[in-house]
Amino acid sequence: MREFDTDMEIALEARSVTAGYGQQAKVIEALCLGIKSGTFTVLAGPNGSGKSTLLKALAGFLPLTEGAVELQGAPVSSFSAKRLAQLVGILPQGPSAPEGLSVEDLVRQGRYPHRGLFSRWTPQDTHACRAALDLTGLADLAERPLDSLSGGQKQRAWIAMVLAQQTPVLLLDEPTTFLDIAHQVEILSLLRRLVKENGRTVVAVLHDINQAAQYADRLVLLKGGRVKAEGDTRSVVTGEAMDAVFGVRSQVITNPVDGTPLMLLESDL
Amino acid sequence: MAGLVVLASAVVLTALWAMVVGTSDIGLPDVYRALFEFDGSRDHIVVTTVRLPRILAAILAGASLAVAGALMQAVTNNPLASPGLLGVNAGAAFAVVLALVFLDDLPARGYVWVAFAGAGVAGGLVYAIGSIGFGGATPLKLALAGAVFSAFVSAMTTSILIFDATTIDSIRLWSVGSLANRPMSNVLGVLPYIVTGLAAALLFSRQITTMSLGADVARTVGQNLALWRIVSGAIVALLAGSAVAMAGPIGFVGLVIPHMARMLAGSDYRRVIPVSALGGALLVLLGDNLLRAVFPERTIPVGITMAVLGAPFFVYLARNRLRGNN
Repeated sequence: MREFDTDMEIALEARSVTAGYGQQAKVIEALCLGIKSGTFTVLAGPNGSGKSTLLKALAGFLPLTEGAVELQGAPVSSFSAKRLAQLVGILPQGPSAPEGLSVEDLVRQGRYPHRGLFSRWTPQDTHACRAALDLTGLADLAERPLDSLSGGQKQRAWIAMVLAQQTPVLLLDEPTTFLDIAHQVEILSLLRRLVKENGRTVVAVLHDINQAAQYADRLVLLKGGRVKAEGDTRSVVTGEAMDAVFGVRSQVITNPVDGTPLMLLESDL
Repeated sequence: MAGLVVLASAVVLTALWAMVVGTSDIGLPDVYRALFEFDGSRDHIVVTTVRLPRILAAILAGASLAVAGALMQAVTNNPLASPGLLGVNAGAAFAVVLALVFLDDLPARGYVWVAFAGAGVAGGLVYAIGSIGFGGATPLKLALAGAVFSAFVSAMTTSILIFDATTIDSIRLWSVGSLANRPMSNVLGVLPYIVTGLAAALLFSRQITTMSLGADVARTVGQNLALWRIVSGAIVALLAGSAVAMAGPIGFVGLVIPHMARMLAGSDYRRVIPVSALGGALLVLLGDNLLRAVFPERTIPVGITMAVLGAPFFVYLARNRLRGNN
């Protein structure tokens, strides 16, 4: 079931964006990037390369020093916080909520941007929450408090909250960090399903290039606050690009399982 | 819902009991006649002008301080936030004392507005001081800023009262939190503000719940945090300012009750706020009257009772609840 139209080719666009925090005013500098609608895009790069900063800038969470981020042809800064939360959902890195909060209570918060000041809970709200819980496979755990869940389940609960916002665009900051391999795969296939089956646009910061190559459509490599390479995962994952961005020597072969590029590090032993 | 009914009944029963506590021996039938068939006898006058306003003052002060505390804990995500600990009560009391001493011709209802201003300025200042430096307004920094501010402002209040020879005893008692000798006009004067504050807190309880889940949730779902912090701050100033103008700075109600309310009602402020209001009313009413029943000859200000009851809870809180947060 495709819920979101993808006729706009570019969902979100950064136009020579310079942004940072206080003393470090230029974490990303003059950065240009278009996020294609209906694709799963991964942002990767060394620590401190500006991945999280770019994600926050795309979500309109960060005042820009220069440039603009455009959503549906208008700068994100021109949207109210509430309107923006109807269009772009963002999952921060390592989010926290009070212990004891149930999964369902967290997911219901995702309806906040769709409700008026005094409006009542509607059947659409119930429907959106149920759909989010079903997609993330949490329907049976809805009553459970967050602090009783495993790391992977907790991460899925947060994703469910963002899904309940029913935004066409989803931005996720390191959704798989600190999860074991099974839970990483679980999150990645969920994100892929959201793109292929629901027609959403997903942007995620990931560290594992091979996972990006397997699950994502597009890859953006950042270094020093600038885009070093971007495009289809097949064209971006090359030995030269890995050397240029991460400074590691590697060979890229074709993954015998699914035909995606597979990066193998050359050990210096 | 059932819990609310039980709490409300407990408040009513305690209020009825409080009607018969005191040096004059007045039974419930006399209390009923005093309220509904007033005949001007001494007992009836005691009931309507001494006991009734005192009971109403206890209920209103308890409810407003507890709800103010619940809102402060939600806004700051800080289990130690309360009008007492973060200096809001002390600020309101200081403003009222300044006005008493320096503004001679202020009409009686002007003091409530002075208390609102004092509460608001104090809350804003403590929040600003507690936010300085790395990590923003962490529970510990906020509590320290509040403690230092409270100590300083309370010392100023006390020194003004000591050096101002014209200050009457009732004001000295008021300055530590007291419900004794509140004229009915005084209670009715703050009633509209307290009703407004409680109604606003209930009306916005869904937004307050979202805020209480922390900045991660609030920002992700598109809550205008700056706006809702200001709205909540204004409600806190209204409630705490009214309570202080009427009964002085009564501490610990605003700290203890919201915690108990969350233990009983969970994390949804649509339930936490009404439970806090009733719980706060019950605690102050009980605290005030237990002492009157045990020591009928003495006037022990309710502020002191609350401190005695609240201090052990504070230690419990610091040892258990805070550990997970830091």
